[in-house]
Amino acid sequence: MGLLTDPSTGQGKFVKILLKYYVHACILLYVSGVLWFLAIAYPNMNANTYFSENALLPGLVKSQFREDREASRYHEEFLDEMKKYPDSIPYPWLLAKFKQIGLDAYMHNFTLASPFNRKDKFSGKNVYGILRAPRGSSAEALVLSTPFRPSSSPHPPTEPSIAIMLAFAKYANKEKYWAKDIIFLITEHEQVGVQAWLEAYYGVTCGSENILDHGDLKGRGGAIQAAINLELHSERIGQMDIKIEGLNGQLPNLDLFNLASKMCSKEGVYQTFKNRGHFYTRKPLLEWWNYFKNMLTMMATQATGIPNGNHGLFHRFGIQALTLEGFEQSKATGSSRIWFVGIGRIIEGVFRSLNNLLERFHQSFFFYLLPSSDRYISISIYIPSVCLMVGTMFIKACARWFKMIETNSEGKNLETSAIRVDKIIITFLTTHFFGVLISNVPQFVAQYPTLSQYETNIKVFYPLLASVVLLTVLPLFVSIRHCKKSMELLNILAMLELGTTLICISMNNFSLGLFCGIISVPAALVINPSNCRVCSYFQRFLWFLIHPLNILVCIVMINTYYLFPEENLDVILFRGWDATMQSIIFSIVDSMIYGNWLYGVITNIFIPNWLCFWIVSFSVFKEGETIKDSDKEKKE
Amino acid sequence: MRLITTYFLVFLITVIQAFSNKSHTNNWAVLVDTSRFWFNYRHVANVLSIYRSVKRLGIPDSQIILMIADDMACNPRNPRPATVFNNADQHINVYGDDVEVDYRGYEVTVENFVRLLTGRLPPGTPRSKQLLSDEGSNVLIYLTGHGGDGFLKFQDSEEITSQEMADALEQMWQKQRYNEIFFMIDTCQAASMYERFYSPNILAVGSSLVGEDSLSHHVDSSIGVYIIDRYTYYALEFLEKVNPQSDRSLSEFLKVCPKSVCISTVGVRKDLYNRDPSRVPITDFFGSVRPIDILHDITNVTLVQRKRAKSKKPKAKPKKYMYVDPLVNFNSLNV
Repeated sequence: MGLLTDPSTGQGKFVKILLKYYVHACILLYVSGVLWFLAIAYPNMNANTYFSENALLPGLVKSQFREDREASRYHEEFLDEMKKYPDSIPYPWLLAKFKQIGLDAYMHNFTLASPFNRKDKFSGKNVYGILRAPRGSSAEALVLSTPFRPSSSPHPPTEPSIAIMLAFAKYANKEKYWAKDIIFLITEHEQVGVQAWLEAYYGVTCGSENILDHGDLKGRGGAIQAAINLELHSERIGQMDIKIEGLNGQLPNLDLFNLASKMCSKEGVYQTFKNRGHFYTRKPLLEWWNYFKNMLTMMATQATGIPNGNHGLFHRFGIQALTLEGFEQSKATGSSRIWFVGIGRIIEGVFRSLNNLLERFHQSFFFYLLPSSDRYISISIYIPSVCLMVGTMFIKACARWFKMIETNSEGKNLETSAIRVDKIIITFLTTHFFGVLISNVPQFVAQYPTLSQYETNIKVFYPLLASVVLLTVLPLFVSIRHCKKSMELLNILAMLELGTTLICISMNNFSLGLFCGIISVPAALVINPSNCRVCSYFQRFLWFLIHPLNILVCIVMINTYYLFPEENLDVILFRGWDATMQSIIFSIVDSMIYGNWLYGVITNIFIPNWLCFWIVSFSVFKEGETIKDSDKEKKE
Repeated sequence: MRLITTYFLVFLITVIQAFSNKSHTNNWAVLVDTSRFWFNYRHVANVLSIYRSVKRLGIPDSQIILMIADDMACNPRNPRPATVFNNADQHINVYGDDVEVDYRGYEVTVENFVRLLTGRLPPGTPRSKQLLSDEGSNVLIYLTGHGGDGFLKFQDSEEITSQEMADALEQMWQKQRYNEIFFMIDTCQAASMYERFYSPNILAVGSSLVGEDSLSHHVDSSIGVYIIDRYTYYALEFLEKVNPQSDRSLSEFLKVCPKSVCISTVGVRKDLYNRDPSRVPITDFFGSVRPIDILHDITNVTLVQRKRAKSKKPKAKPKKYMYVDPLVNFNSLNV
């Protein structure tokens, strides 16, 4: 056993094999990583979902909900009431109804300051009612939430879910078996409302200071264990879609998903995940393709880190949550529709099972992928794919390191001191310093009130774009690019950083980690300090292509093309560019309001890391050149 | 000489046989539910059903030690508060008004259980929490809960191993705390619990063999729980037809749950037991011996008929009351 810096290690047999075959090994590992990823959707690789938590006792109890008439009446009344409030929540009516039912009814005010102009303030109101557990200790609580959408909202309406929520509250209040409080929550302004309510419930601020003023809550229940968010677009439901992806790619416990899925199928509604129901086919390839498509759809949502429903904001607080979205139209042929009775019974079944829980959800998986609503891929199955891919980074870094030591020990004109470690570290840190600067550009901009007359796009996006573009000329100012060894070491550092980052990200948000890995790893493998002009141009071109901004533009353009296939190319380009700007602005806003870390990771880690490789690809040196020549250049 | 030896041997065998056939003098029952929490409702129903049966067959409450977590009847999740049923028909409330729980809640621990069996309880333990058995006692031990291969889980964090169980019974034997033991256990892999027994006079039965799960019988959809386990359900079905006078044998009881209905295989261990179970009445363990002394010298006692004398009661003089000062001045008393 020798130390890494021990020159004698270069003589080891293992090292020789590594040096000889590392290129093959890297290619093999990368390809097998991709193949592994393709294979995990194959039914033999994954398993059927099952209930891991004994305490849930799913579906054992007979459903007794029959307040459907009540629900219809609430629905009509609520629609009438909404006409009086064209674009805000009709809170007096809701408060009155909650009180009439016999709940503790409260209102919650919150204020949102615009992230780029603190003077612009928006306010909103949430209404919630708490059903106190009649024989329990109120130490635990469950949440049934639904977003209120005014008629002016661009999203599909959710009034039926408010009606069924009230009817269920009325039913539940008469029953004596609740061991936990049930909080019925109606939120305004989509995710901001839920975020403000949760922050107020826990007394914390998740995003930047002074943006979301969460206000105070007058009434609280116990520790919230689970939340169900309802988005029913009609009083007749032909298809129930379960949405699970949360903030930063967090997912609820698989047991909760299984529970909701089981209750839906018990009531006989066509139940889907990612808009696809069960499918049965005997052709293995077709089956795999269906599963794979569905899994990719889920991963695409998860990778953005943006919650696809109000449930996604609960996850951060250790609350397992999902959204039940009901559509009137069903994709399944000949499937029946369920009415308020059926919907109410789904809610009743889910809540009675949650009521049985004695501990937090902990038995089943928190990290999984779903190729369909009845199959799952656990972390132990999917993580090898990203590990195989990222392993190449470490293998190459290792091999390169040994190679460097080997040439050193051979001692051809070059001494160990030829490597200017201090300069390398300074270069490495400088890139990261610029990364931190970029990530703070929006904050700077927001602090200059003189800029407030400009549009957000202009005052945030263009400075950001300018700084990113400016940074691409950084390599010209780096002196050590004339020293092969230094470049080699910088390359090793960058590879180690990329590898570590990818592994860390895929532990938290596998989809993001995997997509980043698939794109960046092969390109990073190609990059070597070389004096071959063609190679170096090719490297630069390839590496330029995978700049995070370019990737984003590509994704948005393709997306735009699929959304508007009939438009001309120039219109699509224009729209795509606009959408790119919007997406960056939104990711900044998300990071400031909700604490979404996508923007931070990209600017603080990926862009600096990209710059490191970019510098390496700009290495200019001649074989046998000594350090003395390169020292003449001034750094930056 | 040889003849004498043979006679002596025959005599000895007869004596031994006479002793081994000597019947027990009292009965005890130790009924334990080792699990808690709402979803284990069925275990409480199991143990309370057995409790009900042994009580009906004559073991008094003072000789039944009942250990349950006792969190079902008043669980806030129970839609029928203060009751525990063992059947979806809900015709028997096994948590009636005469259930005496001796160890409840977090008192149901491995330590308490072993101390109870071996009689090593701290001084001052109430009699209701003691197993006051002697060398003439037939003891029924019934356990239910969640078991594994070689252990039985006690509530949240503890478990008793089969070796500890066997050692506790051996101590009981050495301290002459039993005549015979009937050991019943309804858990998953129940047979593993009695595999290590080495003390004499124990008949053991378990609801499933090693590697098998014991299953629940049915669901009560109005309460929303699995209400009873299969083995206990069929054992109970049998016991309900037994009365204190009936002569159903233990071997019948051992066949009570065939694999077709139990799904798990009921395991029986007879090698430590000296008697033939087909000759042992089930009431030897589930019923009770009430010691009776028969009097041979009967004396007739005739009741003397007394004429009621018509005597007039002398008119009671009205009592004379006198006035006493309410507050006595002690100084004025001549003491």
